[in-house]
Amino acid sequence: MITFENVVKQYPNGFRAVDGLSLEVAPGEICVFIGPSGCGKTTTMRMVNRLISVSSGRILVEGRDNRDIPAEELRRKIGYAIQQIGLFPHMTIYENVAVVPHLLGWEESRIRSQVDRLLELVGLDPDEQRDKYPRQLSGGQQQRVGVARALGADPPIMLMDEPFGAIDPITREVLQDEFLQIQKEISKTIIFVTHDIDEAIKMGDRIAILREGRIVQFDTPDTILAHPKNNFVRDFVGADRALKRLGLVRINEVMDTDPPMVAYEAKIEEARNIIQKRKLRSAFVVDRDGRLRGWVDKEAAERETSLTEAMAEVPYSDIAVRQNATVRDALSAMVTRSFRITPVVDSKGKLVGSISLRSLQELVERDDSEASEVSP
Amino acid sequence: MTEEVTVTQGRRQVPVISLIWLGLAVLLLVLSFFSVPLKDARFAGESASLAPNFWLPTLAPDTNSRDGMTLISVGAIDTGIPFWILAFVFAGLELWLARIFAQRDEKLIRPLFRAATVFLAFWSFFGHLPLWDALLSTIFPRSPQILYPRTTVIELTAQHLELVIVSSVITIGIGLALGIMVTRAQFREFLPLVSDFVNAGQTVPTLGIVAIMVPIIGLGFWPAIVALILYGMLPVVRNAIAGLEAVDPFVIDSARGMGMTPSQILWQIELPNASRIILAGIRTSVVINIGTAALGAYAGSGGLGVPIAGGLSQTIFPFVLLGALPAALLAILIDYVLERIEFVLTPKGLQIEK
Amino acid sequence: MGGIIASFGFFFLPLLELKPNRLASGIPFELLQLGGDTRYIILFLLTFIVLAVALNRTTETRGWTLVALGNTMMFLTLFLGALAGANLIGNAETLLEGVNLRNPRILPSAGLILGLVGGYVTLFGGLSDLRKAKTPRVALIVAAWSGLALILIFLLTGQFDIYSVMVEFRARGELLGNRIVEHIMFVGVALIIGFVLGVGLGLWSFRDERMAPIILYVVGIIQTIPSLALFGVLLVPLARLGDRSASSIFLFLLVTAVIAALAIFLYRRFVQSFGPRLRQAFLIVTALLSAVPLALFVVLLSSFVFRSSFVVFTADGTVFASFRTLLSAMLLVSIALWLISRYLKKGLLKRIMRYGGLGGLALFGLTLLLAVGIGSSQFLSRVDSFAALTVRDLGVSGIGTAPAVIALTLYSLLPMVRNTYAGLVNVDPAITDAGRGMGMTPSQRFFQIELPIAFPVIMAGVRNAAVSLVGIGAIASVIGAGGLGDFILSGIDNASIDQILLGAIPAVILATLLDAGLRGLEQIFTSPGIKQV
Repeated sequence: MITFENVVKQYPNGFRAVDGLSLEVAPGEICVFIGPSGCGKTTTMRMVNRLISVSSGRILVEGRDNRDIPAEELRRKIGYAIQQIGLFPHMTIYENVAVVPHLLGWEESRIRSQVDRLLELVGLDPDEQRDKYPRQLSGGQQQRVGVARALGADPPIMLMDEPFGAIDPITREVLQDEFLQIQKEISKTIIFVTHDIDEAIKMGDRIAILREGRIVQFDTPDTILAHPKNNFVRDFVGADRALKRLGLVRINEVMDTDPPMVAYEAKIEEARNIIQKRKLRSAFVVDRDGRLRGWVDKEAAERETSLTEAMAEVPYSDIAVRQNATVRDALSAMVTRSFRITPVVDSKGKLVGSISLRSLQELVERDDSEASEVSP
Repeated sequence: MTEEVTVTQGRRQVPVISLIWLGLAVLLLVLSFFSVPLKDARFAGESASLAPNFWLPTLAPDTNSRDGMTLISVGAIDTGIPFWILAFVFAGLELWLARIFAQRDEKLIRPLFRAATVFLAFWSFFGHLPLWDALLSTIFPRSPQILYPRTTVIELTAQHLELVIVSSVITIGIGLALGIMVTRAQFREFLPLVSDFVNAGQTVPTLGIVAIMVPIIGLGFWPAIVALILYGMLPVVRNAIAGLEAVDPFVIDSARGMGMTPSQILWQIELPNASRIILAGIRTSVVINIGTAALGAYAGSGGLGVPIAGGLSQTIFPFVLLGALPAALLAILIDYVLERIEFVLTPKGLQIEK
Repeated sequence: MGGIIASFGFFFLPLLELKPNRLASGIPFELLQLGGDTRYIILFLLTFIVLAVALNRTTETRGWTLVALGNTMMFLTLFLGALAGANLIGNAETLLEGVNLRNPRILPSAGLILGLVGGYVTLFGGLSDLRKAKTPRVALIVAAWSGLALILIFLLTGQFDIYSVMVEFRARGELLGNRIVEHIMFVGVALIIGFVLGVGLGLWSFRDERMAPIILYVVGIIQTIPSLALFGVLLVPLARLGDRSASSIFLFLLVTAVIAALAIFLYRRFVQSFGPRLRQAFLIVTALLSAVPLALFVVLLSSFVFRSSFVVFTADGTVFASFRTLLSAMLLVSIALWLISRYLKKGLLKRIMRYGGLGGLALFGLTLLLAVGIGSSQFLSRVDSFAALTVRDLGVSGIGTAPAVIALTLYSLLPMVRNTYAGLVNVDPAITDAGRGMGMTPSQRFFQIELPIAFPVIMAGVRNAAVSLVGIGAIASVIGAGGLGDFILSGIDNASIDQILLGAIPAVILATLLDAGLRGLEQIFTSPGIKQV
């Protein structure tokens, strides 16, 4: 969709902001550019819609060299959202979102329905917000309008330069989640510039880490966290990259699909057996439909005479984690409740597996040893 | 406005201003060897050199002025020293100062020295009447009358400055006091009223203000002064208010938090921070006063407006230029001098680097 | 509220002055000397009531009381003054014994002025109280203007004709009309040319960062030159220019224009192949070369347009005299229609009024153009042959309106250039970047983003310029340009306050109206999304 071929940006004073960069952004993916300030990430992004000219090399947009398309025409096909938002203060929300459709000469009725659709998409009530002016909106609302405006004429490609950078952390999280949801619907090809590694990991399908105008590593978030190519990347992603990586791994990818499980109607001996056999300290109790009812620990199982008396009956949401949650969530749950093992359930509460502290430890250790093999 | 432009000459740098003085000195030296015949009747066919002598301005309390009390009197003395000597001296001094202060950014002596020397140069040129005679007779070769009778350019300029100095001192005093007063908490309710009056005052034509004083006070020095004060007050008050209002409230709050008294806050915090805007207002006011003082001719106050008004009513164009050119030059000159003073007086942290 | 006390201490100054005739000085009379008439005591009572009310605490009632008192005070000061004046005139024979009485007149004196000022201060205090109490806007407007409206009604119905200014006004009303039109004309022409040039220069300095300090410095220098001196300095070259034959000047204009066009063409063609130094030098030379014909053209055009329209609007006894009334009526009605339509709900009526108003304005413009056209053709038809035509015939001369219009244009530059530049420079770069990134062309960005956002700042500069031009315009009459300054000058000659006021008061009103009108335009065309500066 977007291909950089040996792109160089050299300024008249000789400074090379981008130095021989090549990469390809696949259709429908969010490609995050990240790196320290001055690494050329914004420059690279701005060369795509020719806000900055390429010194040598070329950029293909949908297979065409972007210099073959008149700059304005090119830009109208590419959505553009920036950190400062840059909403036009003298235009209403409606007029702001309608800028590109107007530039493209759409019919008024089409523009109207498009604007309403987009405002709804970004979670704003069109009837309420349409005729307001930017200064009447909160920062978060303004940024939603900024995204809607970038989507104005349904461009296949979007460039986003730290679009959530100037917003308070809580709203930022909300907007990130919402945007990922929107992206599922619209699946645009997006270049997303940020300096926040957490945002990059969360938003990116692939991440390009840049330094001094070159790509240091271009890979999926998981691979980058698991296998940082060198010390620069390792430092950049941070000492807690293992923890960050746990945030990327879904529980159902690593859980033990054969959890220590005993039926609610079963005898107490059955529970003792399972605990002894698997050298565990506890087992989970499920009902006839496989739903988690509670748990029984080793001492109680040996002391009491019936399972119903030995078990601690609790709502599954209190002790279990969902199978589509991240491993990081599981770790957090275990630490807060001081469990060594935690049950995993599906959305209906059915026990589908378990995950233990030890297995997490193994996961982290394995990544580390692999990574150090790559760059000692 | 004047940047420190320097040209490289070998390893050392000679400031351009030195070269300008040097060029002027050489030019005047050459000119002093030639005499040109003078056209105006008062010279009775004499000849004179176009190179001026060095004229000094004097400022004294008023003794016996033309029209009653004027508080101060501005005068001019012909020292008899040819100006080209001074020009050589200035060239040397500028060079010397540039050497002394080569290493550091000096923002007191050099701007003031520059302002003073430029002023003296203009003053000397204003004083040299043959120069004006030659200039005007070149422009108007057929005009029988060249110079405004019974007076000289420097005399008119001195009268003009008298008006400006007296009115400006009073204007600045009253204007600043008023501006400071209405921004204090206890008088703040008058602020909208005062700015209303200031804005409304803007719409009154200057000529109207000067004129209205004549039937009320009569002809002479004072009606012009009152008019100058009334009109010149507006920018001073407006900028004083704007400057004091623009001081960051958090700065004042932290000063208060450190235990400063209101008067300490005013003198140590508010006024220095507002000084740039206040000084700009004062400069505007003085420059406006120079312009309005020219209208004082119609109120009989003297000054450079006199030959303009006289020339217009008698349709003798050389007279008009004899007033208009020095008045224009004087305004630009004073604006420049004030700009330098403003530059020196503004606290360093607030100076805008140019 | 303490300030009211001060303004009323002055009530002991003379209220009126009785003059035996137009020129002789008069005898002052204090309020209490005006015979034992008890009616005048009301004024004193009013001031005491104000003081009493001012001590009151509750804001809203105090506000209304003060507003009422202020309005009454302003009105009564004038009204009772007029009554007393009539009384004085009646007794003039005895009061001014032995003086040659010819049309004795009543001069408002310091006491009267202070009465008005005091009334205004009271009104102002009341209004600020009401504003604090969040009184609805309509009520505020009524409160603020009712006293003035009453005074205006009395003024128009001739109730205040006893005052000497009004006497002067009645005597010279027709002439005053002409002078006002002249004044509006040269201020207007200068403002329009200044607007085009000033905004152009402002744009230039915005586009070319290296030129910005130079342009701003030059227009700043122009501003410091005293107006009287500038009129004087312009006199000589314009007089010289006026002596030339028109054909030679046209030839000169043509030649310089061709040279300038050539220079610009060469510059654009070869600019890439030069080094930076040479490019800059070439730029300056090109700019200077093109400045010559441009300046000359502006001088010729402004003088000619001015002269032509002048013929139309100030000619007496011709058909064109009726133009004035027609045009001003048209302008007023269209603006009124348009303004009213803004307060109406959506519907047919609103649309009719809106388009009616706008159409009226357009018609006004067209008529104006037509009038200028007719004027210029009339003007040219007086010329016998083109060969004999001098530049002076086209309206350029050292004395008269040409230097006035040019000087005023020059003076209007600084506020326009400065504000245009500041307005454009202060547009948030993120906003222009967003526009660029969305694929707006430079001209779309300029007209759809930068200009609308900078608009209020630019208009503030225009207002600033307009107000100062009205004032400086009065000075233009010393070079024979006419206008309201004529009254002021002859007033100085005759030491007649009335004549001076007859020139000064309309100038103040003109400046205020111009300011208000431009402010109205500014508000109409400024997006509500931009906070008023």
